[in-house]
Amino acid sequence: MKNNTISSLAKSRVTYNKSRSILTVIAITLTTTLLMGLVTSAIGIFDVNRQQALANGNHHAVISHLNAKQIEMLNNHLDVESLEVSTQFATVSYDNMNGYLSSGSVLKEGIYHGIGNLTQGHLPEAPDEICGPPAFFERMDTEPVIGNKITIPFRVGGEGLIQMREFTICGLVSQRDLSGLDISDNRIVYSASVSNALVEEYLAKEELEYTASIRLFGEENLSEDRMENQIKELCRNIDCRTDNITFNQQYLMTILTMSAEITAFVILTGLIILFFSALVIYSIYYISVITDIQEIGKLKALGASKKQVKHVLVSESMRLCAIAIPSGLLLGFSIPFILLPIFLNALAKNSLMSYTIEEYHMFSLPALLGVTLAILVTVRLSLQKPLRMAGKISPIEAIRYQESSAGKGSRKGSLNVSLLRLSMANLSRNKKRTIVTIMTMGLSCVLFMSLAGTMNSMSVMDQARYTIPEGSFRLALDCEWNDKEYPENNFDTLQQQNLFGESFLQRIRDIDGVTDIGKGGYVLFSTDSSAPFFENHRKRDLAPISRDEAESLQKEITAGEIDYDKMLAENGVIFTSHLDWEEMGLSIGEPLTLTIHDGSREIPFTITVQAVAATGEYSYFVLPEELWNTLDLQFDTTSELYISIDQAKYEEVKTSLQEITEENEHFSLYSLDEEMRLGALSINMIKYPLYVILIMVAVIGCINLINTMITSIVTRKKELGVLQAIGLSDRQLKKMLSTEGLFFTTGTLFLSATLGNLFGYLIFLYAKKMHFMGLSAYHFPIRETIGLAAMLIIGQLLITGMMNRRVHRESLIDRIRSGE
Amino acid sequence: MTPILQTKDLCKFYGSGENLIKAVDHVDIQIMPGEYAAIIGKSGSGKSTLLHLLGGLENPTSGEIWVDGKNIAALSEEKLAALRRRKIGFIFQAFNLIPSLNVWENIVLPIGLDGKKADESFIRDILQTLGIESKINALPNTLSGGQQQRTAIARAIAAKPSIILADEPTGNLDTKNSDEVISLLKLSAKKYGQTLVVITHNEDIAQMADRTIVLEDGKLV
Repeated sequence: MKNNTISSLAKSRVTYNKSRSILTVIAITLTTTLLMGLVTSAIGIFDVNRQQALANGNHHAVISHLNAKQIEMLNNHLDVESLEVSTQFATVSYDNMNGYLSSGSVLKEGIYHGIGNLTQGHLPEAPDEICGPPAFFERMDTEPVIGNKITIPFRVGGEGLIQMREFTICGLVSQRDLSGLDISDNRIVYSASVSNALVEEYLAKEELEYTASIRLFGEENLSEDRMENQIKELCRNIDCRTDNITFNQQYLMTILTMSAEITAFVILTGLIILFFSALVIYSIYYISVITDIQEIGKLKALGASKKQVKHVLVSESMRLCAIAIPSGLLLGFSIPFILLPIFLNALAKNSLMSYTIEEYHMFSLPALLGVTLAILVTVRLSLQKPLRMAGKISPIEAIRYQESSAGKGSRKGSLNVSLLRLSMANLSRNKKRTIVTIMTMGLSCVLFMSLAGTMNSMSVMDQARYTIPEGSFRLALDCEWNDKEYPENNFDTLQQQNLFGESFLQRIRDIDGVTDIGKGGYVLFSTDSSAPFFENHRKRDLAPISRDEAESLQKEITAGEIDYDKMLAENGVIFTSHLDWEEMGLSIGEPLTLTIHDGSREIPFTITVQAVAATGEYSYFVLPEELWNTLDLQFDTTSELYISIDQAKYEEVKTSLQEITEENEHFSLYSLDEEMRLGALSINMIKYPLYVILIMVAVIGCINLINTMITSIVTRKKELGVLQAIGLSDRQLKKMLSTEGLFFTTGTLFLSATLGNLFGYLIFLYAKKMHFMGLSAYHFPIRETIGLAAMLIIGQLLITGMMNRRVHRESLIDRIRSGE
Repeated sequence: MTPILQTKDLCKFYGSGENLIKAVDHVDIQIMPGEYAAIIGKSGSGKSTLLHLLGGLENPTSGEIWVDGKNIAALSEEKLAALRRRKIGFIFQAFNLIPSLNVWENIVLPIGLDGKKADESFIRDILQTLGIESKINALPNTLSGGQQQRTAIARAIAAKPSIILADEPTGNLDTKNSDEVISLLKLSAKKYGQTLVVITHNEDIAQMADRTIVLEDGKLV
């Protein structure tokens, strides 16, 4: 046989086994679509993140509280690639506006800002010139037009007398579009720049405090950790405290970490997808070789060599790939190309961290080639075993072969034969085929259920409850713990103002619709410990816990043990942040002497850490409430209020609370509707793409079932005819086929319900431990289970119906006679 | 005595126009209970079609088919299937056993399809008569042609049908097996009081029959 004979044979096989070819094409197309879609989405998402990160600037970190000398040192430092400095010159005292005036200069070029770039006019040079985003001027009730005059009341350095001065708008800079956001005004910072000349009018150079934005050399060779360490090192070099550094986390994460994480995710998911489709393609060809043994035997009898037989099969599959891969690539690229922007725009409209993306870059030739190669390799690998089987078929088998000839010659039957037994006899005839089919379907459904458990547990309410533990609103104190420069912002200082005093609480209670107010709070403490956790005499917090709460923490214990009575006896506390435990440099049971900062008072207190727990819900340290009461604290420890309301009056209460919140810059209001909206968005962002992937994997699994059923009918055409001739009615035939299908369905459902939920729970536990998406309670995926069962059963019935029609396409006599 | 099998003006045509094939062309036959009838004729004379029509495997183009006092041309598919498993036993040239079931299960299959329990001693009796009682657990592909056809005969008889329709039952067998199988078929039909209709090319078999029906181009000769 010449090669063109082989390829024409392969070609005719493709058209002859139409249903098999179609199924194979669908399987390969779906796999390619999934893989391409995954890669394209990943490229798209990474690009969006990159753009978003760049929108916040490409600096690596901002270092605050620097003096002129330190700036000079930075400017001369070898590691520093780019440097921009600014000084926050004054706060704006206008109608509770969260506004600042600053001035800045570029010392080393290279820092790029996504927003705040000049769109009109020029930067301020003269003392009475001002430049800023339109929103700044609008907030001050002035039209943002170059040349307009604006009078601004401000306090230099945020203190002292309010100064009034008239400025001329000399330039406008770009700003983020916040119009779609429904957030309180006090969470928005308005800032405008003035000239250095103005600053020098009020302050001497030595008095100025600078903030520096820096970029270091060698970004492409550093991991996020190493970059951060290097910046810390730099800080120590210029004699500046490391807690003055604010890393540009989004940028560092996106550029240095995320690219690695996305790649890992894509590779892992891609491998799972490829694994499933390999199983399916393998089983289609495996079954095809079993069914075609006679044909292959004939080929051999006619003189085809082993190699040529293999070549026929490979050439057949490559023909199918030639149709399937391009269509898959096209689909896989276009679906995310169309949907991702729609999806991200919807997200951007509702989220704080938003930035409108103008252009999406998702196409990558290497990715396209990579996907193609991966699919080709997968198809080729899944053919390996069927090819070997085909190669081993001898010409004699062409004539002798009957499907059940493999294995034993007798079977322990039963006295009577029912329909069920007939179905089971057929299923057990080729156990391997039955098992392969159930396994491929089962595995994809197990995967679905495993993740459904976790995804189902990402409850919007749970996530919102992370921010607002009880009630509908949380009014929290916006404060610092360790601000040495502005101690007035620190919790212990604010405590002395008695902000949550009885009269304040009464005002809230008086709001129509408020039913209850709960309180949460803590005290700060410091210690002489030299552990990194307390570096620079950093203060940490301590809060009371009830016996019940302590009991519920039992499950989260990672070290030590919780014995409430022992804690009472030994001043025992629980440390709740297990990830930081190492930084404490302490062992369980070791005493630690604290100084508790009760407002202006200081109380010495010795504790022993008795257990370490993994929970984010409490203060760093918690101690039994009975012990807490013995501390005899004089100042109000309330840090936040949980406000329960009559739901019918939600909007009115929210408005009143917003008004109260705006009265004090230290108050922040969190409302359940906003938190739930944010929660839903972030959950959906993970949930839906994952579901899409899972459903497609399930579809690939179902293709295998369809193939098994079609093959089982095609190969039993005659047998089914005979059964009908000896009295099997149409209804019984349908029932028999359904029973066979149902066996696969029940097997699959059984696997998914048991293994799926087991894995699901384990994944949930792991995700919870990792504090992923604020997972807290496991919600059994009832809807998903029912949905999966319904989908399987309906799909099964459809397939059976299809099969039944297919059987009847030929007359009974033709079927009985086929093969004679 | 009323005939157990009767056709009135029975026609089965395939195709249309110039391609019209009259497989069975206005045939009237009557077969009495307990009778052994042989249908003979050349290849393509319409013998098999006639047999299939008699067994309700195909619908006639026109005419009537009366089986045990019922016109089966008017029956629904569901009722036809029930009729096939209760009243009629089929034997095919290619044996057509179900490969996943063993000998016993193949034999009791029509009874099971009817939702009934097999009459065990009756089946054992048939197995003994046919000489395959030692093979009950064997799968069909391990049996010789003769053994397979005996199993098929047992299957046809097991549900105690009144009519056995055999389409060239010895076509795939050698002479020795042929003679044995046909004698067994005749013997058991007699023993269990069944009507036997056999299609055959074999002169000897035809001569053993009570009556011979000859078909030529779909017409009775």
